[in-house]
Amino acid sequence: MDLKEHEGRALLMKHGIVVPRGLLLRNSAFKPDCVWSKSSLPAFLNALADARGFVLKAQLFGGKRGKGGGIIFTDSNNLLKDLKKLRGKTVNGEKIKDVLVVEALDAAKEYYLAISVDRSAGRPVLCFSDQGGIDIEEIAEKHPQSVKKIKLSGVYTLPAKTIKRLASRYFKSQLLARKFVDTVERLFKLFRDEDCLLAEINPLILTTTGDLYAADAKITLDDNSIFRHPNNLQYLRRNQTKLEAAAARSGLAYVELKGDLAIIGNGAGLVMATLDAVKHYGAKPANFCDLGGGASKKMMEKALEIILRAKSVKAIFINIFGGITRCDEVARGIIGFIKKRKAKMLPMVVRLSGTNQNQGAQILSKIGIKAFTEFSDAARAAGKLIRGCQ
Amino acid sequence: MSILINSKTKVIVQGITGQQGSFHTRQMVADGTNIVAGVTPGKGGYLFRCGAKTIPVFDSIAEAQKKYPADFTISFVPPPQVLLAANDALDAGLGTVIITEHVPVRDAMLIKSKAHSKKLIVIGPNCPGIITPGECKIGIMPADIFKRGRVGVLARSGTLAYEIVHGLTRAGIGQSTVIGIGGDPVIGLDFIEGIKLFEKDPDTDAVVLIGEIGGYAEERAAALIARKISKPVIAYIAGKSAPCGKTMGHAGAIISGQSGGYASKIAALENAGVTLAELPWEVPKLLKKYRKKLPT
Repeated sequence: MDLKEHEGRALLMKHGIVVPRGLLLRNSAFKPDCVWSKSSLPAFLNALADARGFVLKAQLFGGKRGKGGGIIFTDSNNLLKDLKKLRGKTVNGEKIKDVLVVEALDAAKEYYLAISVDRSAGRPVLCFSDQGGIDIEEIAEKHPQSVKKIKLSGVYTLPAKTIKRLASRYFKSQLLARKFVDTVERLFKLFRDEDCLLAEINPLILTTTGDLYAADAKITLDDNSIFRHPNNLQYLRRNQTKLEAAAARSGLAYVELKGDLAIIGNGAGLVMATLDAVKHYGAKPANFCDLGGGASKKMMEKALEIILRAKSVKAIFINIFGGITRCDEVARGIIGFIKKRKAKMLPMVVRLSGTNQNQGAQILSKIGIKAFTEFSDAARAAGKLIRGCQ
Repeated sequence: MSILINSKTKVIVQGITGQQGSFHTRQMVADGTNIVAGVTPGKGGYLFRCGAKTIPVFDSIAEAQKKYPADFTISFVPPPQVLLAANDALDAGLGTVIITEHVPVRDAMLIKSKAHSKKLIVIGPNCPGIITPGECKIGIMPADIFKRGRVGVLARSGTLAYEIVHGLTRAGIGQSTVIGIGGDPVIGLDFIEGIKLFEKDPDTDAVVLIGEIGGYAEERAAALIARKISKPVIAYIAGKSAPCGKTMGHAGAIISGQSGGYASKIAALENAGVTLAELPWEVPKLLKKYRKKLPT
């Protein structure tokens, strides 16, 4: 689950990491004549009379929003006018809903600080650079040595000495080094206790007055940790398409793609291989749809219903390798769905191999579908079928 | 004859009384696995019936170990209990195969680091398990598609492994041991450890590696193969047509930013001298070519 900046920022604050003063404007009360529900905005501006300026930040999932025009630097006189500029605007294909207004900081230097998962080592890894900011990705690619990577020894402990050495190398004043170590410790605790896959502060701003501020937050939480954090359920599935969310609710792994040949299979790897195989034979997959293990008749019906909701679909390829999944059950699902559906069914290629493949083939033969047993033959036939439909 | 498990391996089932646990325990027994005990906290003293056999159930691994010493556990417990169950197994000195899907990464990291410090084997989570055909199956795979032989198989995906193994078996190519290492971002035994074990195994002639997009496991395996592996390796990588930023079923199968893409994996493996199958059904054919050159 990816969090938006203001949600990540709330987690930083919860763990005592210093963030610039700010106010979230939600567009829930959107009306044509008012920009955002900004009832608390005057009070906020009053309280921040000493601020040297403001930054308006569109709250989006995607990165590179600064380069896409989703961030505006302004002052109290121009704030309302600039807010209007963000209204209804789309940045990198994402429509702006909420805007975070924060005080502008007088930055002396910008750093990059992140903790993520080193998949191979199976440990958290800390990344730090003294060249933080919007170009960090390019910098990391061109000058990988400027991003320090520290593999953490354990899941529950931070290597105190290594972090201190890092701090004293990059921060000359002892006070500042101590502030940095404190920030790292708090971010690590956040990463661990909130079940993060990524906790990133970019930039971590050092102001001219010698303070450290987390000026942005990019946090990814682990979908599988919801049982420990039931409140995070609200973040799950919200950047999926409607179809993807509906499929997930039915227990199907489904990803919408741009082609016209719908794919259903059992097992993530087999479905991925099926997409690759039909592409090899010239077809464009309309989706990835994994029934999972031991799918029932009902699950098969549900999968067909979901994939056909995508308007672009012209034909269907069902590829089943029966282990725990029984081919006869899948065949019953196909027949059940066709019987329920009054409109004419789209043409399909079905491949059944493994547990009860003969029973499955027999069931399908009743409605005139000849099931393939070989993956290669079926993929080739699916490619041919879709060419006939175009 | 094999790596990690053989006909002498004794197994304890964690979560034996659950729906998945009981179903697959019966399957494993039917397939010849020596299951000596089961564990379900709160159900100690119960007897699990399995055809003509009865399997005693205990509250903890430690208790089971006292009466029925084993080598491995297989875990079917629900995600919130996986960490506890794995700790229980590792503390008793047993390797563990974790079938459970949807285990938090943090828990997987803790299990991996404990297994590492105790020098014990963890397979999974989110995996189909391990099988040495005809001898021992600690997993959920359909045993009848496997055939005893001399090719080792390592796969991130279960069904894709079945698909390819089935193709091998029909082509008359048997397997020494097949391991489904799991589809999660953090897993126990990985390609590297698996390939090293097959390299040392006198009864394995070649290795089939079934990878997919996401992470760097294939690239790291390629680096090892180039330097230290003398046996032929054939690889198939799934996900050539997968889009960026979308999880393709497996939590670990995601291309994010510059990492995890298909092209970098193929390039790394090719550079390491690995034979690549572009489509899954090409694997048996490619292996047969190799077998002519192999001493038999």
